[in-house]
Amino acid sequence: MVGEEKGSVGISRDVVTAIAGIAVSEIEGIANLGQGDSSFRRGEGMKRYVDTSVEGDVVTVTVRITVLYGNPIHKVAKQVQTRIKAEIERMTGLRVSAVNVDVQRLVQADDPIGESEGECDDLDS
Amino acid sequence: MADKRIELIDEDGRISIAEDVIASIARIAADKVDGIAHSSGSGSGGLMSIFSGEDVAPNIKTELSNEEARLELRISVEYGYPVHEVAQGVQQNVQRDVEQLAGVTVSHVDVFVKKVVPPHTHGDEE
Amino acid sequence: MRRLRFLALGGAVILTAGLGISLVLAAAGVFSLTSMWDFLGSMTGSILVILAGGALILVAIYLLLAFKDERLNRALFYHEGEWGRIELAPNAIKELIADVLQKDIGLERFRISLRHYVDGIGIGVQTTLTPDQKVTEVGERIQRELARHVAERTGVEVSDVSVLVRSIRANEPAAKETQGDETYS
Repeated sequence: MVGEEKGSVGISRDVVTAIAGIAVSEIEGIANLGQGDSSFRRGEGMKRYVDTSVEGDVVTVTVRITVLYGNPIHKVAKQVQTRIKAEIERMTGLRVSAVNVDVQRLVQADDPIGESEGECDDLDS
Repeated sequence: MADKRIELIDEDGRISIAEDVIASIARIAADKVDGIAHSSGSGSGGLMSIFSGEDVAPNIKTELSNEEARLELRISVEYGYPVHEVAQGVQQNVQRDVEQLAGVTVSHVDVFVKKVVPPHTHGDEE
Repeated sequence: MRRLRFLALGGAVILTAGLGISLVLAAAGVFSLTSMWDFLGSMTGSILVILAGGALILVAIYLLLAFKDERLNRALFYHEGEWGRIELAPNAIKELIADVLQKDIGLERFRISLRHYVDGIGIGVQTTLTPDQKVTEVGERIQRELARHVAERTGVEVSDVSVLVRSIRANEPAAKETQGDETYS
């Protein structure tokens, strides 16, 4: 929460979380944050993948992402870091101390649930 | 020495890549090599295959330490392909893809050829 | 198939562990043996005993096969390259040799053994021929083809090939057509 002389301006964590979500929505290569998924309702689903902590006027964000095969992961993650930081600072005036990105899974574009594991036919083995 | 993830920390925060992600990249890289067998195809299904020691698809083990990865793959090769060349192709592909796509230095890619199998055409109805 | 294996193994472990625990508890007097015996005599009890017995048998089979595979698959050959190590399971080499013997030489019955020498592998082939096959010719052919093919297809050097013709059987079908260039007489 941000305190100012004329009263306090509170910014809830949910708002910060939502901003983080919007910030990453344009980044190519992320599979689990509403990219191209029209049924994903960004406001609520975001909490599953984004943890936000606000202490004073300092924010720390942790994002868990699933990446799409083909994009250099470290670059995608770096983009996530810079965009979230930029957007939060711009839209809230809060300072972002760290954006932690946990890359948990990798999937291929035509297999969003990540079920095929190196097998090319329908035998479940 | 085996961590579950690779972590890169800088002033923007922490980026951590799960072991599973590295293994997935390696698996996709290995599958692209000519001569790699993907699955058992027809005939070896059923109850006995629960007991048979090795399946055909590649198995991947990763060992992550500091910022380095060491991978071990167990693969099957299709008849007709020179085994050592396929194995070398796997080594090169896996090292290249993991380094390029994950930004992780690969110290070793050890390949164990467990089986040689008849060629299997993909997309067959079983 | 991996998952199925884990499930089967897990189920077997649970059943055998449960059995073991029940036996220990029964012996320790926690269950009275008579009531347990009555239960076992009942329908559900008997079914349970059958399931447990079956699980134990499956576990035994699994362990046997796993042990067999472990021994067979210890790598026979390895090569350290700039990217890491390449190892070949003996089974893989044997399967290749079998392929050569069947397709290029036309042998139907044979047994392969492998030995690891400093300068490569030694291959032993035991086989059964038909009366119209000349032993020395076939023998030399086997040696030539194996030395060549194995080196080509695996990168492993063949240091020697020993061929033992165990028997000559008249009722084997005549040498199979491979590429039509077989001449046995």
